[in-house]
Parts: sequence; structure tokens; C-alpha cells
Amino acid sequence: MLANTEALFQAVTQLSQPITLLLLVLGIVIGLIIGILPGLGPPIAIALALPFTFYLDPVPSIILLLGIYSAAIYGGSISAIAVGIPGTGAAIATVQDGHKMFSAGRGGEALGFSLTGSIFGGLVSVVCLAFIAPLLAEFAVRFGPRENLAISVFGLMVVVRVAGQSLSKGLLMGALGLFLTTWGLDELNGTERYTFGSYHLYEGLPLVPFLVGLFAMSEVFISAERAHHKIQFNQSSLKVKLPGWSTLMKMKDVLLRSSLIGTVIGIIPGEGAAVGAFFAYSEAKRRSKKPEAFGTGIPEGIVAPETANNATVGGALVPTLTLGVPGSPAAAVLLGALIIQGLSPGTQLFVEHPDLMYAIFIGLFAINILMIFIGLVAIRFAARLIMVPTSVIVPTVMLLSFVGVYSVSNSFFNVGVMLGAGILGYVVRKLGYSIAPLSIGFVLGPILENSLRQSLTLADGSVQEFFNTPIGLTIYAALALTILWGPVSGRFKRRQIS
Amino acid sequence: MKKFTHIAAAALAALGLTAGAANADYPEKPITVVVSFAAGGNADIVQRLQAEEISNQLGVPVNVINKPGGAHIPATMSVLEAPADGYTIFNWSPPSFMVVPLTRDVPYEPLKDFVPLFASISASNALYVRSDSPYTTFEEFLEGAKENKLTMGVNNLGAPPNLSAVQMANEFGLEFKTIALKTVPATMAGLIGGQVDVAVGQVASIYAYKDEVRPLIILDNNRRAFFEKDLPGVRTVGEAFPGKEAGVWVHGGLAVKAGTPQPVIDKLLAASEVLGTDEFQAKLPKSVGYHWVHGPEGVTSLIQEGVDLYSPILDGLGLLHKK
Repeated sequence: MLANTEALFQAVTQLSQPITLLLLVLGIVIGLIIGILPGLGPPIAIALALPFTFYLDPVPSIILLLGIYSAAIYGGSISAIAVGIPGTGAAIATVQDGHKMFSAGRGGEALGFSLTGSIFGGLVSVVCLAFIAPLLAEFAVRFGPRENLAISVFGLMVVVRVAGQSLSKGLLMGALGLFLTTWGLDELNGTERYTFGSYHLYEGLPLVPFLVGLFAMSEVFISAERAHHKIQFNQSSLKVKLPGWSTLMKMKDVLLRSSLIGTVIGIIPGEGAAVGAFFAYSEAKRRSKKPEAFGTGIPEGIVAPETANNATVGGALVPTLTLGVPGSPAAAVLLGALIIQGLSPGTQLFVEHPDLMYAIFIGLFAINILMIFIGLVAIRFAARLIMVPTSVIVPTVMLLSFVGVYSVSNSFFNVGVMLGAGILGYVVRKLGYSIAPLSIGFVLGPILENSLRQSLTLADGSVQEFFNTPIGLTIYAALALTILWGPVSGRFKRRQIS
Repeated sequence: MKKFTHIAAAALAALGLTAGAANADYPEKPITVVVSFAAGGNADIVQRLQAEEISNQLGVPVNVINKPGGAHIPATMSVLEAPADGYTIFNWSPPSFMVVPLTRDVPYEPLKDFVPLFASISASNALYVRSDSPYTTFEEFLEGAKENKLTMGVNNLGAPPNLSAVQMANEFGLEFKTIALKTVPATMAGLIGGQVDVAVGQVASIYAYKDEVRPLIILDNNRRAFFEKDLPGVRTVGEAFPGKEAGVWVHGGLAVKAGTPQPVIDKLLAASEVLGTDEFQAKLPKSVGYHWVHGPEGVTSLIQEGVDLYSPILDGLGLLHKK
């Protein structure tokens, strides 16, 4: 692919048009703002900009949308850290350590870590996309029901790692999350399950309103209790600090591993940025020498999920561009934008439009670089949010969440779901349970159910056929290894001591 | 001065004095088109392009809003809950006007509660195998499918590609293990990746995957203009096997709430005429099929055709909702 210098030259020419450069900056700014606001995530952000691309050429439109996509995923971490409310689903895993670090007076540092991780993950995934996309596409089409089932079962392991203090409480929450996804019509035979006679529940509880309620609303209720407490902080914590070279080198394993996890999860259709972030967080915790420190406000707890969620962007584009199958909800809207431009994303896109592909690779690279500077400006303001009294933040977040959730499908039912999930989250947290495992159960539930039942159809009663999946077996083996590694190595060490 | 007229109009409207005049002045404020799909899909894209065109004709903005979820019912009901004044228009599609009302107890009746304006976007289904498949013809596939229970990929159970597969299975006495892969592109990707042996995609699915898949037959006996453009030389079931039935009903368009004043409907019909022109159709992505039917009468009988086609197939699957 490197041989096609003519297409490369065309791509660079198109990218250096003033209008494209302007849209690149504009996309990042819009994406950041929308990412920061709870409820409004990348799919909405891209959908809002979609009508404007009617009047643009393919390259500037896709650059605008990619800028929005990348920046929105990053932006979610800013509110996660500074307010304790994830701006997007992708930043859920960042809340625990990010906000603890912020509250402990290390806000500027925490924001610096999330920016660095996001950029690193974004860049690694672009490189993967640019150099091995066709190879990765080959990998993506191998993911059918049996493979998706294996990865979802693996995902349930993550519930255990983010369970918090008590494992049994964590498992209970994970199970509750799974249970809530059984609501709605049965996709195979149309049976109504827990629809309570309302057609609004035919497609189950809507994801975004549920997650916003669970995280943002419950946080709003909890902070409302202590609205009059004065937060103690140190002026020096306001200063934004990017991690130095030596810190980065110490974290290079976390950075690289999380980037790869994010890219791979992004490639698998149906698994989005939130899942990638949780996988990376859990893997960093598992590998850490001090896993108990996770959740108390440590840099690794921010870097791992933030690196991974931005790495899902490049990953999600692989099936989107090479197969025409979106790797994430945001990529689905992006796919629409390409189709409007008269392109047919699929196996032919690379062959027919090499210049567009180059423009996407180089553009996405440039977006990540530019995001450093625009991100730095944004987090300077965000670090100062700690000075804003809770009595101002609470109603503002509440209002923004209402607007955001309503706009997802222009429906008041969704606002009701958000409030219900908020009350659920509040009660659960007050009882000393963690909401992170609940959200993982909720995100993985539909994929788990669907892939399990389809695998059973494929197997047609044969156990051998059910496990007739090399990729799936590899995933199951890795799962067994991660479960057994701890006890086995622990026993081995003990034997050596005695 | 313009501002004054607006205020005056608003004041008159508030007093309820302009019922007759309002129709004559229609439209005097932005129009909303409700799409029951999420942004980005074919239905949404075509609707946005059509909204542009209608907006140019009527001189007011035409805004597309997406209300996905709830088996398309909340979007449909939101139009029926708005006044019948032509300012809220519904983008009907196979799920909202055909499959969902046939399979569930819904709080509306498409042909009683709505007046359809036109049908535009369309599609037909075709049977595909991987390009390295041993089945190079439909006849070879038939032999293979009788010997082994093949895995069939469709987008959603109860949706038109699934119904085409079921009709084919009934007509030729075949049996499949059916896997639903959510969307048509995902179905094609599943076929390429070997998740399924054979898949029902749309005729236009060929564009994105032309080296990887092979069309065997078109599962629609009503030959349409776009068949020869998309799949040149591929036969329909009826052409290859006279007497065997094959039908697809995938249409979509705009409708207003029943009770909308006739002058308003006439204006909308006049404004939408441009959507049937070759000039407009040339602006559409090539993966979009188009079958133009203009006016309530034509669309009503088109919808009735769909009911007649799909009711027995859904009944055979045990999915038909009996009133």
C-alpha cells in the first residue's frame, strides 16, 4: 500500500486545504465540549454535525467527524476526573481513580495523565489502522456468535476486578446489570419480557439514559447531600502537569498494553469504548504489584482506561471502513456520512479510494497531535472546577443530563429511565455496593445473551460444534490462565518460602 | 414589516381565527420529519436528502429528527400525538408500517391513522454465497442445501430478508439454521468470515463486497429497474423456476396524520414531486434502491400488497398477530 505515492500526494493536498484544517480544529473543539457534557456522547455529536457534511467534500467531512469522535471520547474523562461524572460511557472506568486523585488535590496531574494516555492510545490505534487494516479486517470477520460469546464471558471476569471491597457484592451487582438487560422483546421469538405493558420497553432499557442515570444522577444526589461542605484544596493542585519522560517510561507497559486492548476491542463490532476501557483497567490491575491501590486514586487507574478508550477509535474504524460494519455506535453514524458522500464502505473502499484512506490515516494522526494543545487549554479550565461550589455544579449537571438524555432519541421516556437509574444508583451506593460492576453487566448483557443463543443454534445440539472455534478456545484458555495464575503462582511462592 | 406580519399572524392564530387562512399560508414555520431509525442508516440518509429538496420547494426548513427505539412505535405515536397540521411528518418504513403492526398489538393502524404521500426508497433481496463457495449456481446450492442443513444469515428475525429466506425454504422444501446478524452489512461480513454458509442480503449489497461474494438468485419475482444495474444477468426465482413464488416488500416514504387538511396535503404532494425525478435520484448513493409511487391511492395499494405478501409467511412462523 505504501507504493501508491500519487494517492498519498492527493491525500496530503486535500488535507492541507484551509477549510479542512479549519474543520479539523472545529471538530476537536466541538467534540471536547460534547464529550465533557454528561449524556451527550460521540454518536450524538457526530449526528449533530452530519447535516453540515452534505455541503462538503468527502475528505473535509470525514475529518470534521473524526475530530469530533476522538475529542468526544477524550472529553468524557475531563468531567469524570473533575466532577466525578463520566461525560461519556467511555470514561466510566476513569471515574474511580481519576476523581479520587482530583479530590486528593492532584487534579492537574490527573488531568495530565488522562490527556497523555488518550493521545498515546489514539496514536497507536491509528498506526495499527494505517498499516495492518486489511489484516485486522480479516480478524474482524472471524468474530461470529461463538467468538463473541467467549469475549463476553471474558468480560464478566472484569466484573470481579472492579467489584470493589467485597467480591460478593460486586458479583451481585454484575448479576443485577445482566438481569436488567433481559428486559424487552426476545429477539428470537418476540416474547415480551418485563415490558410492563409498555411499548417503550420493547427494545429494553435504553443504554445511554441508563448509564447517565446510574453514574451522573447518583453522583448528583450524593453530592447534593454535602452541598454545603467546603472542599479543602491546595492552590498548587490547580496547575496542570503533564507526566514527565521518566514517569511515562515507568508506565510504558500499561500504555502499550492498554493501546492494544483498546484497538482489538474496537475492532470487534458491538464492543465499544466503555468495554475497552474496562478491559484495560482490569488488566492493569491484574498485572500490578499493588492491585489494592487501584480505586484509591493512582495514575495507572487513569492511564489504562483512557489510553484504551481512545485506542478503540482506530480499532472501530477497521470494520467500518473495510467491511461496512460499524465497530461502535459512533462509527455507525460515521458510516452514514461516508454513504451520503456516495462511497460504499466495504471490502472495495481501499481499492477504489486509496486517497481517501490515506487522508483518514493522516488526518486521524493530525487530530491526535492537535488534541494535545486544545486539550491542554480545556483542562486548565477543568482543573479550576474544584473552586466552583457544589451548589452550582449539582443543578448544572442535572440540567445538562436532562438535555443530553432527551436528545438521544427525543423522548421523555428516556428521561424517566435516567431518573430511575439515578435512584437505583444512589440506593446501591448508599448500601455500600459499587455501580461499576452493574454497568459492565448492563453493557455486556445483550451481547452475551445474543451470542449464547446463536451459538446454541449453530451447535444444533452438539457440544463439539459449540466449541468449534479456534479464536474462542484461545480466549477461553486465556481466561482460564488469568483465573488460575494468581492461586497457582501464590502457592508456588509460598512453597519456596517454606 | 416582516416581523410585524409574523406577530400579527401569531396573534390571529392564538385567537383561533385563521383555521381557513392557515391552510392557504402553509407552510409558515419549520416542518419536522420524524425518522424512527437512528441517524446514519440508509433510511435516515435518504430522508435527509429528501428533506433538503422539500425544504427548497416549500421555502421553510425541514428538520429531520431521529426517535429510535421501542420497535418504532414511540416514533410513530409521536406523530399521531402532534396536531394534524402538516408540520409533523412521519417517515414510514417496513417495520413501522408493515412488520411491527403485523406481528404485535400496536396502538395505531397505518392506513387508518395516516395518509401516505409517497413511497420512494426500496430494496429487493438476493441470495449470496462466498465467492469461493462450491455452489456456483442456485441449482448447485439447492442440491447442497437438501443434503446438509446449511447456516443461513439474515439481518433480523421477522424482517424482509428473513421472510425471503423463509419463503424460499417453503417453496423449495429446504431447512436452515438461521442466524440473525443485526444489519445487512453485518450479515454480508458474517458470510465473508464464514459465520454462515449462505446469506440473504439486498440486491445493492454487491457494491461493497463484489470480490468476496457471489449472487445466486434474486428473491423477488417483480423485476425492478435496479436489478439489472446492480446484479446484471442474475435471474429471479420466477424466471428460473416458473411457478415458484418469491416476493419482497421493502418500501419507505412520508406520511401525514389522517385529518390533515386537503390543501396542506396537496402542497406537500406538489413539493415532493421533484423526488421522483431522475435528477434527484442521481444524487442518491448507489447502494439505495428507489421505487417511486406518488399519491395516497397508489401508496395505499402498495402497502396492501405488502400485507398480502407477508401475512401468510409470518403466520407460518407463528409470528402473525391475530386481532
